Amino acid sequence: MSEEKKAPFLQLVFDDFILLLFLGVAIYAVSYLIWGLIEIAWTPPIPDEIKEALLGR
Amino acid sequence: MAVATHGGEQWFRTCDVTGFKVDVRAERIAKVNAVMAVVSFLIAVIAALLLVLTRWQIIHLLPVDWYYRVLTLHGLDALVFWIIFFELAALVFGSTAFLNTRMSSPFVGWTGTALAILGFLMVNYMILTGNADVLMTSYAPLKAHPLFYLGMILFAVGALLIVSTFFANLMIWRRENPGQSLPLFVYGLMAAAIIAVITIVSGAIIYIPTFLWSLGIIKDIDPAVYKLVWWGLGHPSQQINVSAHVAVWYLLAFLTVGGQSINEKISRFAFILYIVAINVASAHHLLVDPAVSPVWKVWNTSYVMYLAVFASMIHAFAVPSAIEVAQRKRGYTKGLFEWLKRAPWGNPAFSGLMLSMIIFGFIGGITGVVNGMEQTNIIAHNTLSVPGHFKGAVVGGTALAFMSVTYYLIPLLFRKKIAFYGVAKYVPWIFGIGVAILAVSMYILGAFGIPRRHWDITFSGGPFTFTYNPVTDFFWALFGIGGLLAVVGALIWIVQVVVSVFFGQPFRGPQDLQIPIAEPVQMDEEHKGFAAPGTFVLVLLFIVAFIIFVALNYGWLSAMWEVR
Ligand code: HEM
Ligand SMILES: [Cu+2]
Repeated sequence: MSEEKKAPFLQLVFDDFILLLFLGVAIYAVSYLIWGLIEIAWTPPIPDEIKEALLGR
Repeated sequence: MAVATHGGEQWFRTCDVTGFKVDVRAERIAKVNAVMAVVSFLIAVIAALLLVLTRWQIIHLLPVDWYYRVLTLHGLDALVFWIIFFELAALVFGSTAFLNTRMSSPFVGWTGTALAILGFLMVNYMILTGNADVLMTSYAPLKAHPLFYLGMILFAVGALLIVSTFFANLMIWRRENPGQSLPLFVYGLMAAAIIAVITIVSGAIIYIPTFLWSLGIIKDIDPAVYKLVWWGLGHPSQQINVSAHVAVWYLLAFLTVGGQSINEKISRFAFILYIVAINVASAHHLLVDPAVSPVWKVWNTSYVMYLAVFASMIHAFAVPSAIEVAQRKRGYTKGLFEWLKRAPWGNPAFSGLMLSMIIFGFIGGITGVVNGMEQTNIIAHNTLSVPGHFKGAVVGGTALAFMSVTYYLIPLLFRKKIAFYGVAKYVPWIFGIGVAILAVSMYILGAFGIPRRHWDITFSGGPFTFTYNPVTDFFWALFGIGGLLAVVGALIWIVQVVVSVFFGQPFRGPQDLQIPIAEPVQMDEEHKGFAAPGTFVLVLLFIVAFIIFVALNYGWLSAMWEVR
């Protein structure tokens, strides 16, 4: 394989569907899913007094 | 059907119209999925009719429990089954016939198809027997029968299997054609398939625990977590649709006028932007949720999402400019718009393509950006404006694009002549205009505060009542007319497809081709000056409409909460 035959770098990225699959899953997983789950996990539970009051008990 | 037997490749036939080598094993799988798509669409359209006649309060047809049941049915059969079955057919057919490759594993393809059909049957049965009145979103703690969730899981697994054959087919093609790039249409399908993986994995993450919960094995499902993960399914699945229908637009531009993207690299780049940037926009469904922070909301719905909006703008320029350049090459060069005037409007696939682009861009796209922004979202949140938006996007855009390309699939995939072809040229107009009226009137009704997913907006018998601005009566009438027109258009299309495919005359060869396929136009390597001035003007028009609409919304917002 000679050097000239190699496709330009960008084209290699564009054509690499496995790389794109990885990027798509990773960006989404970090930016939306994992970050979102962490924020939900960090939300303190509703204090018992307020919960009771809301439920009218 | 003529099947070539030479060269040991007994599963190929050569298409006598396109010259493609078609793997008949893939073709059969694609056909079954396409038929399932049409069956789902039929159920969805009947449900839509009942919904229109219920929400339009002067008729108020269904009782309350059936309204929610039918709304669940409509949401799932339209948004999930019709669209995804169609996409599975496109993935299988696109990754074989369009690449002249063979189907990697017919066994996996059939297993996936069987699972998806089984899931479809279970879900529909559970809804219709009143065991799953949970709406499409099935937000916990609403609970459906376990078989409903199991059905969704089986459908997802089936779809994932078919998506995996798509990637395997691409790998076979890659091995046989080293160093080549995928054709643009298949490239768009690839973007759709990648987003499908994200969607289906999110679906599995949420439906499996919910299924166990419905069986009593897991005690609790956290509603906030449920909603977050569910929208990892609900929103990206819409981006599968966008990628797939944009791919279909490129294909239709090619088939109807012989147009090709004037800059394929940029078109491909736009698909990559979809893959990396569009899925996080799921966050727009959580804009009024308490647990996630404003930073998370704003990051995911604006900065990142605008990259995806930018991608859509690229396609919105690329497809019409492909048409314009091809038409100009044919000699329609007078003024800005002769190319458009002299376009093949009598071809239902062409008029369908144009209406799909216009409705998607002007109605679905513009309202989508406004609804998806953290600030302006609050005006529209949970009102009828939301379904109004996606009627423009997914019905006027995706469904209409799929309906249009089907006029080519009937002869080329099903090898049948199109029944009542003369009627076909009216179908995109009836359906498209109907959907446009429906979407706009829903959007306006929402702006008057009318909620979505609501059986009785007169609140009769409730502890308090509310009277809407009487102007809404007019828009309800428009809603009814638009909805009925759309239903009529969809039903004509369904009858046409069913009669052609199951009872139609066989398609014997090019002499039987009713719908024209344009000669491809040779594209220039280089462009001097403005290749597509007409498209440029149209895009400017679009941007002006967009800016006006955004400005109006900020105006309304400031009127709600006075800014001093
Ligand atoms: C044939 C023409 C159609 C008509 C007349 C129609 C009409 C309607 C109506 C009246 C609603 C109820 C809104 C509410 O009460 O909140 C609705 C909801 C919906 N429609 Fe359609 N529709 C049509 C086609 C479609 C198609 C093709 C799709 C998907 C591709 C679709 C997706 C949806 C979704 C996702 C909902 C929301 C369901 C929910 O809130 O759970 N519709 N539609
Ligand atoms: Cu969304």
